[in-house]
Amino acid sequence: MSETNFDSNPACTVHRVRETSKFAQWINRLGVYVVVAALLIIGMAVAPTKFLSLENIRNTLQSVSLMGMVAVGMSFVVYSANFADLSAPMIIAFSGMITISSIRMGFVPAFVIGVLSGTLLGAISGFVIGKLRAHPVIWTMAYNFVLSGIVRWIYMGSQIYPDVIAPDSAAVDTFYNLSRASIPIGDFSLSWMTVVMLAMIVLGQLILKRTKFGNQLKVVGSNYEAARLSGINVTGVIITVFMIAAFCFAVTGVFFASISKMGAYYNGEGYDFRAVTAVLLGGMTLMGGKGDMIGTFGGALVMGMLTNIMNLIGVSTFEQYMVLGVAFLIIVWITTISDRKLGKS
Amino acid sequence: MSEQGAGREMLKMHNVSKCFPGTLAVDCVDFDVRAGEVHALVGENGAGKSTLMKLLAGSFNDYTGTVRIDGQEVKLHTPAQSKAHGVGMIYQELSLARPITIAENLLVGKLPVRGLFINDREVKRQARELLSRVGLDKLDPSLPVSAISQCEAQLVEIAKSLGDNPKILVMDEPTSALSSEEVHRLFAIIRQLKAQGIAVIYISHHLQEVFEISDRVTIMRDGRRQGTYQTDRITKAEMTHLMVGRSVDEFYAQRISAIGDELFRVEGLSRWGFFHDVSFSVSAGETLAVCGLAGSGRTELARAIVGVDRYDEGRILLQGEEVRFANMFQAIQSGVVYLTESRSVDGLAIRLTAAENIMSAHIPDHAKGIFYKAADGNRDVQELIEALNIYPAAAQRQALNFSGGNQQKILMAKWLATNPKVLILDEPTRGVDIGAKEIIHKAIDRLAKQGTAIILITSDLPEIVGLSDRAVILRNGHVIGEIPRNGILETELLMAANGEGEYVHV
Amino acid sequence: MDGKRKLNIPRLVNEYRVYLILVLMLLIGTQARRYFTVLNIKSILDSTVLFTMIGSGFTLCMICGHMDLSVGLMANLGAIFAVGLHTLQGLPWAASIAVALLAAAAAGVVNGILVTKGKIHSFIVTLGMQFVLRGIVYIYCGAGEIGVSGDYALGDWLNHQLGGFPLTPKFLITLSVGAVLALILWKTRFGRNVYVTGGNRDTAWLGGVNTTATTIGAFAISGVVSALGGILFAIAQSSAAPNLGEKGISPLMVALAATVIGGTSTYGGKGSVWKTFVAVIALMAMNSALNIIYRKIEIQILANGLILAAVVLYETIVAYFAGKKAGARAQLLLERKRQIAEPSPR
Repeated sequence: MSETNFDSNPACTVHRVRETSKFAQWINRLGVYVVVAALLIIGMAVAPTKFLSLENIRNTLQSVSLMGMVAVGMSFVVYSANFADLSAPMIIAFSGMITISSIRMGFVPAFVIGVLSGTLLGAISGFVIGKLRAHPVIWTMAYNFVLSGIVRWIYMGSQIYPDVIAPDSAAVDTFYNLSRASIPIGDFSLSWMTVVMLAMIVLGQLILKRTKFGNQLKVVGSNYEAARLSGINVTGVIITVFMIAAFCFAVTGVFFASISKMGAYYNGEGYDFRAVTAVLLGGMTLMGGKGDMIGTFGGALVMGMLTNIMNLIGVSTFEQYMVLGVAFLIIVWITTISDRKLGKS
Repeated sequence: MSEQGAGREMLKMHNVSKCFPGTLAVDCVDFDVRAGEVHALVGENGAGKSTLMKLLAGSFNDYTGTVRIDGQEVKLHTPAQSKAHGVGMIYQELSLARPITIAENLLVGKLPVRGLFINDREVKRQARELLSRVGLDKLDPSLPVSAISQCEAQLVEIAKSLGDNPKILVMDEPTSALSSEEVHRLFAIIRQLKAQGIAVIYISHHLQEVFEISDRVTIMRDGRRQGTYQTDRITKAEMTHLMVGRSVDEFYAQRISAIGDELFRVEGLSRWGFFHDVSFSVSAGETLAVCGLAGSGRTELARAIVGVDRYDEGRILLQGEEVRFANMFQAIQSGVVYLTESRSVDGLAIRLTAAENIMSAHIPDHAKGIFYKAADGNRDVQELIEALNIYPAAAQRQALNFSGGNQQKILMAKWLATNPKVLILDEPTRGVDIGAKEIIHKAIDRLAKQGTAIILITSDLPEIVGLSDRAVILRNGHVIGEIPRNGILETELLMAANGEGEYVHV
Repeated sequence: MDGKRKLNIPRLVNEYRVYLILVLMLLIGTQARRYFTVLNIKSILDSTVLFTMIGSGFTLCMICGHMDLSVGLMANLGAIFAVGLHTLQGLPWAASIAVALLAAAAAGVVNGILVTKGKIHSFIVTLGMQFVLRGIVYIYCGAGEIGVSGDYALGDWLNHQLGGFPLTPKFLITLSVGAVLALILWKTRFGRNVYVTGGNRDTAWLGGVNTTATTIGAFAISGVVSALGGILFAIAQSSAAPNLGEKGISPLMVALAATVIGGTSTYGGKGSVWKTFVAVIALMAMNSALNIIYRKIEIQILANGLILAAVVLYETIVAYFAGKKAGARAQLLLERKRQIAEPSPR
């Protein structure tokens, strides 16, 4: 190859690296937060007084808290290039139900048992996908199906209620309070659920960027075989990924059960796809090894703000589904194009 | 024996160039082929031969220069156009669809129909007819491609191209997975094609084959044509000289090796079906070449040594102690590392940055407990980028934005970072330009001088000659010979790889 | 080189496993009272209608190398539009059904375009499309059921038993659609193109196959067939609900289960709509037996899930050990297939 002729041969004009405009680079770095900013502006235009009110912000954050928790876990799965963990709905439901079933042992033990059992469910997926290389979508869907059958069979298809299992107990009260309590910050009270979600985001980001595991995961997500041949314990990494994800789903499940004051096999339905939407909006790609938790938070924010604005305008919940779907497809399409344009030059 | 190139000019490429981001792959090349001629195209890895042929096959719509086929100027911007103008291409990487039947692969895009429906009988008949052209008449065309051997698949690939009745047929390393009887069979088929007036372009690393089958030969280097000659009027030495740019002796500085004690030994290593009873040893500072044709089990051997694949019998000794690696991590911890054959498949994570790739095997050593951040390895990365002259020296640039040669340097840097005792290299300069090749060779040399034992798996003969102290020949998974330092000459290596010569003792 | 494949019993068993599973289910059926009656068999066959149609659509896209997660909602869309336009807007059945099918076809084409031209992964595209369709469905019917008030003629006709046989027009229509689809896949150029495109897109493209049109066609047909399933189901039930079967078993799950159990490869290029059909019958046969024996839907769901999981694990493990035995080259080819590919210009 003649590196000198590269400059003189006319066939190469199109390939000379152009300095991409600073503006374009900034847009690419900020990613989803450009959309957040746009939504902020739209929101302020649409409902100037209400939109930026503390109460509105609090409500918006609250509405995305549950989905945000799921999205943190889902982010790890997407980052590892394993599409998504479609067994999230059942892990959410399962953990909630186990917690409620054990509520007689006291709140903390029940919480621990619920979260632990949910996390262990993830280990199985991690093994089947990480070691045996099953197709992640097919396996997690099948797993969801199996778990659904197991949960429905154990509880004979019915819901369970904490105050029926352990009437008049302090544990149940704490359990209900979990999702209803808030932390006062000056005039503003931040819901406990939001705090937990934010904590998970921060922790998730730390894990991704500042640990050995997270950095190795980046290689695994980018090229599984290359990672394996670099001495990375790919099976261990993927099992950990699915366990972290399951942990997040389990925590979500406990909160969900707390909000609805009951455990049911359909708790968690729909959260898998919504979480994946937030993750993809936030800049992660199915190919893995790209993006971070801050982006996922941005994706969740976008979904929350979009819903909030639509509520303020008076768009019905049904129309919101459609808008969400269309917005999702458009944003993903733009991201794909911009990645290609900037990444290759 | 080559025949006189006869017939009219079938292909004329004039002043053709093709550029990629960062690389000028084909630089103002003129190339012509006549009907009924076998025209060989030779050159080092990265010389531009494959790119030139891909251009002919219509893979690029942004080349410059003119192409005339059978006198008519044509635009080859898509594979369909290329095919329509009579170009048939037989790829190195088989382009068959594995779950689909042979018949449907052969007739893809032109399944015979009767009304709305496929005419099954006609499909079978046409498929059988095509298969018989390559001597595969006994093969059942309703088998899926996944059920036949590599060699049979190669022949099916050829039969498929013949189905389009091409005027020009390009074969890119067609013999890489064939045994010598199968090669003879292929040559018989090629001679038939010549007689039918097809212009055949033959790309190969096996100079022996080039001399046997071709009428003319064009040598490329650095993306440019170095010359075109009648095959019976050029010697191998002259050809090699043109390929390399300097005489082989000049290309490699006088090798001064400081060989120490035995560092690494393999005894009786076997894995059923892949390699059998392989034994060799390497000393500190020594470079041992393992050569053999593709399919001789070299890669499987290397992977078994580092614990990625298994082996059934034998032992491995590192510094006198027996070791067995259960996985790559253990191998790296013990100082035995392996640079993989294909950088884009399992060598580099192409969308990660140069820095991330360089650190990818080295993270545990830089980690403090469970913590690690990307910046921890920055100093090491910078040193390696400088040492290997990686251009551009941008650690945060994605690996896919570097040229092939620089990507290979990044891969090399990754393994240098681990400070290995034993470095197994699998085709370290494949698809790499001359400049990068030189740098990689220098790095290997430096490493050897520091006392590392190097096992060099390569089919690049000048590389073996210039870099190694000894050579071990592998054929069909068996070690058939060993060549000491003073015996390493290209011709010896070539013959030995083919199972002949004084160093071969079967 | 003998050119003939050696008789490999395990491989043969695996090829035809769906029939073995059906036989197994029927054996379980022998334990159930009044299982082999005309009435029961008719009910089994009837229950396959929705799932077979959706399953066929899913299988078709999978053979083409893509995942269509929106098949369940295509059925919903079809059901709501067909019933709604007739009942609420007063269009004749033929018109409302036609509009419903057209809408589904349009949605399928959008899916196809986003996947081919937009170069977005089918997982993402059909995920988003799910949302959009759900929104449309909810907007149209306001989250309430649409009942076929008064005009039960068509529904009754679909449901009536033919002579003494366990067959209804509903099922026969399904059977015919399945047969036509199988015929298209097996014997037309388009069908064979679907297989090649799924088997190796490069091979197809280099061979001159219009992979874009083929893929868009696959998604369109998937949408139409799924919608038709929903339409038949809703008319026969005389009502269309915005969440078809979601409190019971998710139709997408069953479609996936039937596709995988039937032997369609998740990587494309290999599979059979017919086998998916048989798989659905097998699953419904099992459900019927379990329903008679245990009377609890939970056990049915558990059994369905376990079979799917078993088949998935089986295939995974077989592929795992095959990979261990193969040489480096084969392993790398397999891993490359697993990698989510950079969208190529075809």
